[in-house]
Amino acid sequence: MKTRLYGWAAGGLAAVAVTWLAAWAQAQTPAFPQVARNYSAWLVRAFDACTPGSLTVTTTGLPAQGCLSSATVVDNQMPMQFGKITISKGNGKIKVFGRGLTPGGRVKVQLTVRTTRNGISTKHPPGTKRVTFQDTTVVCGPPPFGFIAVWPSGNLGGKIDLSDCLQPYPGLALGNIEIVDVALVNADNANKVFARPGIMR
Amino acid sequence: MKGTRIFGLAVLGWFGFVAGKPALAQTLPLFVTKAPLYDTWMARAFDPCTPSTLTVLTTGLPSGGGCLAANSVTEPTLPMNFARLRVSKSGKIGIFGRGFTFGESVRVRLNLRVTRKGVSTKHPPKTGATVTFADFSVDCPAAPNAFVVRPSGAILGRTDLAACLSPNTGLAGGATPNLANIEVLGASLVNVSSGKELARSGILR
Repeated sequence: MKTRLYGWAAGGLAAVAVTWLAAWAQAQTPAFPQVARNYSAWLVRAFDACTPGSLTVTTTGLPAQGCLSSATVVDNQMPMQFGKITISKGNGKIKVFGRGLTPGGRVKVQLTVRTTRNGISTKHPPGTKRVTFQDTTVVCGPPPFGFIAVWPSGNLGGKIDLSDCLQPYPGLALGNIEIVDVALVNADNANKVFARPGIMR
Repeated sequence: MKGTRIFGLAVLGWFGFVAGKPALAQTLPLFVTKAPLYDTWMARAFDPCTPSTLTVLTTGLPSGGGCLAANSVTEPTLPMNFARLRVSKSGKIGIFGRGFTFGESVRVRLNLRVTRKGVSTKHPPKTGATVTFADFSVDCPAAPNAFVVRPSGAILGRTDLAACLSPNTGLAGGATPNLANIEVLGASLVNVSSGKELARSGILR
């Protein structure tokens, strides 16, 4: 009888331990990297996404299906010879430069980030936790106008504070920031995207 | 009278031509003249968050827009001190990182949208068309190859974009420069053994 009780107790303890270990394992997430200094990309032209239909491609070395290129969802008005975007950890700035844009045009940055932060106070459940926030997309520009104006020469140059860009949640500009998407948009054409990071070959 | 009318029509025609030309010319925007490099450090990848019941009290953050950090669809175990990724105009993909587990292997995952000039098509028949291809994701180097972590925990290697894209090597461009406009929609590192993303382009602040 005593042995049976011991057996039940041991079984119960084992079950509790397994449950606790499973919960602990789930709660453990990997450490943040020690350093991730910047994101720096030259920009290429943005084109509409393609859902392959009836266009058959005969050039070798390419997929057999494609779409005739279009720019309806994306912007088709802002020209650009070249451009570059940099997001730095150090000063927390987004820097943009480019050439060959429409003089007087207005450009903004569209940014989607996924931020994860340590030491966040939470109520439900109560405690200090590591929290991942919902992917956040913003379209922003530097104060006071909220856009970067293209110079009469067609050159573009501007800086935006990441924390300003992420208003009203500047706290999203700290921690482990995954850059899910970044693009330049034409503020004079319904904030349509005209340039994305990429390479030209 | 007739002369004035003809002159008026000519002026109107000229304005129509001038005003209409840019609109027509800008229907399909021109490629950029250069975009030589995509260069990013990597942040740790975490699962996306669909806000549930977690209430955040820290100021400057969305009070109802968070989740306890999790790694179920992303890599939970492979450590990383840092990593940096470069994709250059030459088509080389370079990676450097430290703090990984010796013997593990990773690949670079690129999510791309390619628009190519000079493409021949059958339906409709065209030569020299500009074609955009469906977005796709490619892991480099292509299996069975991978970047293997050294005994020091470092990863250092280079691979070729065109080789990864085989048999569709033309998506990486061609002999003529500025043929392919390659939009990088996303870049990440993948743990080969789990198939899960462990790092994404980003910064740590």
